[in-house]
Amino acid sequence: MKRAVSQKPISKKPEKLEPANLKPKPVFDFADRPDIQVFQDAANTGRRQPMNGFDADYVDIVDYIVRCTHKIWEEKAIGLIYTHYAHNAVVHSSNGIVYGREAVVRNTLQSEAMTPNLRPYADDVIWGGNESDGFYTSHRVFDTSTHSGYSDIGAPTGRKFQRWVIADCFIIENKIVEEWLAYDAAASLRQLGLDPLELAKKSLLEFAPGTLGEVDRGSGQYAPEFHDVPAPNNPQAFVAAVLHNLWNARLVNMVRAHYAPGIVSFVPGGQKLYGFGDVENFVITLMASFPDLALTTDHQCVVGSEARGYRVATRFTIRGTHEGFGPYGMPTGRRVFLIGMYHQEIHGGKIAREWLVFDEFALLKQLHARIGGHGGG
Amino acid sequence: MVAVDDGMIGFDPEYASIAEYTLGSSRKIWQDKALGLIYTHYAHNVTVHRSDGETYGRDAVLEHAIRTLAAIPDLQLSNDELISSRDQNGFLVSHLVTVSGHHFGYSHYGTPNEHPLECLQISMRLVRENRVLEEWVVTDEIAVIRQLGLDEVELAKSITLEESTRGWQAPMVGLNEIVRSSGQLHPAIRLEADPRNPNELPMLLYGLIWNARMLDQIKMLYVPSAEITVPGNRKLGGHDDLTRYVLGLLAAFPDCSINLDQVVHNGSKTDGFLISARWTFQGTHLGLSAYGTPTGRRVRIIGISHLEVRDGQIQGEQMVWDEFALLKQIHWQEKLESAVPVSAEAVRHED
Repeated sequence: MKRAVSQKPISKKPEKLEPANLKPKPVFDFADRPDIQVFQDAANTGRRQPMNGFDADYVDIVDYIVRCTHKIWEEKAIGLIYTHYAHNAVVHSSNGIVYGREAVVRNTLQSEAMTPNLRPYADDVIWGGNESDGFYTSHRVFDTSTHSGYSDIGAPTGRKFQRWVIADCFIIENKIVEEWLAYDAAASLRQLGLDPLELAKKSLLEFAPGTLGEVDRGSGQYAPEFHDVPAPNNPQAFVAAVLHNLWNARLVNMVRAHYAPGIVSFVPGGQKLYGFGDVENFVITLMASFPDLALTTDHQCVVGSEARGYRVATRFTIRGTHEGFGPYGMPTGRRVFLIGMYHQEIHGGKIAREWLVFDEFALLKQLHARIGGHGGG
Repeated sequence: MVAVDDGMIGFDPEYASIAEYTLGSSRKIWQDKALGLIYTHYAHNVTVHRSDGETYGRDAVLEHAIRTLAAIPDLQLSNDELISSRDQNGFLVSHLVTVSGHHFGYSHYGTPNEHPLECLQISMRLVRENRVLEEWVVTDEIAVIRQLGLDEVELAKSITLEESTRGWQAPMVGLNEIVRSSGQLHPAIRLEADPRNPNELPMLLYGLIWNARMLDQIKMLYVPSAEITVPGNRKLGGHDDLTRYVLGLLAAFPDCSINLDQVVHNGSKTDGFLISARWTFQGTHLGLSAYGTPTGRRVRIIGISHLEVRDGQIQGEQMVWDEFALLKQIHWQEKLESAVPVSAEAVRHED
């Protein structure tokens, strides 16, 4: 007998939400801090937003992200990657590109073998988009787990580790078609008692990260642009201008102007920064290591309100040449290419909390690894 | 039947108010040892902030509770003081308790003995729909350590050596400029704030006395008979005692600053106010003090103060912060070289 065809044609009729006499519940919002049980209980109770082509149990896009993570990485229904990733999905990270669904399955098996008790707690999901243009989600995760299996970093140490991760996904009809991933790998390596710098020096890079072409920040000898900072009730533009001025125009005074005095900032290396001084110095240290550093804002989305605070997710690329002194060893003259994310909470017009995630171990590999592994020159 | 406060939607029906929720759940969990109720009273992804750092997730809360109760099986919480407020994001509750019991079980203090112990603890919690979403906890642990007859500095050194050997990172304390003013400009030595306004009194307290070093303001903001409890179960009586205490900390950490992070208050102008102020202390250990010769180490401590205020003056204060966490930051020991695990390269050669 012929099996049912799985790829149904897209129906033109809009999907039914909950019964017409009932107003659907609002889309899950992490400002309400829903418990994982609330997501579990909401499954199969009808859509809270139009999302044609998604599995019937998902009520909205936040639910999709939270529960598909639970199913795949906690229940270990790893095969669901086949229905949640496109066959030709692309996963970008500072380590390069992973192409295709099968590679996602392979990498998941490897990481689940290394740490089977992984608990990827959803800390926030900031999102945008819709069913016809596709959804974009920025998913902040706090991983806690035990290093109890084998992987590229060696034999199990039995130690616990925890770290921040931000995964941005572009999703069409239940399938992640493109993903950008950044996790604080250096923090977890140190918790295992390993030295990320030593490991980086022992690793191989398949290719040099990028060329040595000019890092675009301004135009020749002209000064970089200074942007006017819009009011914080336009949170995306506000953040974009602050980040541009801070990182590209070197206007580090943006910190005192637009951050709250009690700013709590989680940055790579498992560090928690507190106050203006810490944030300023983090920025300056990175710029000192990479004097031509440029940051481009690649994507932004925002949720929240003025009353409850805005939460802005910004995905960026950092490029720069390692020509200065800093925490990453003696200057190597090498170029880095880093994909990272900011999650920033704006309360009372100031950035009151932020998470900045990029992969410092990938950074160290780009600086210190031997170039020319399999596939490379 | 008790009328249900409309803000209590989503709470277990036995709680008619946030006070009943706080007192009832802490009695059930800590005294009746219904530890599983942590599953319904804490968010699965709760963050708990301590001066030692953050713990993440409900399971970490449960593990911490079990460890504590195993060490102190007869643990009692008493003398509660509750200060709470509510906004769109939920209730903010500041809960002061006296923890007491005996060290009947095993703990990082060593093997069981029958020493009694007693200390103050304040938890500030963000609560919504029956669950704690985020929590800041300050415990006067140094009082307990002294009651058990232990040497706090030796214990700080041995615990941190063990922690670093296990791969734990040194406490996150920052190393950078502590901002009290803008460059060479001085911090404000006068503030347009009204001590009768419970939101503004803490600004005067930390902005003037602590950050601008205007210790003369102690006489303005505290009544002469004010009793102030500080870590180590110490009671300070009057202006002179408090002045000496503040000077001691300022001398030990000459660049220190206190930033006010959160204020919660209850009461009225006629009845007086109860104020809970949560703050962060940062400083560099550069001066002589009760903490011994300067180590040059940077510290970051969170604290919560409960202030009893009448007519714009503080009548009494419980200033709770973890002085033992401060000692661990000052005396943090780096791991022994021999404890470094085999490198990844060595591992690869095995197969």
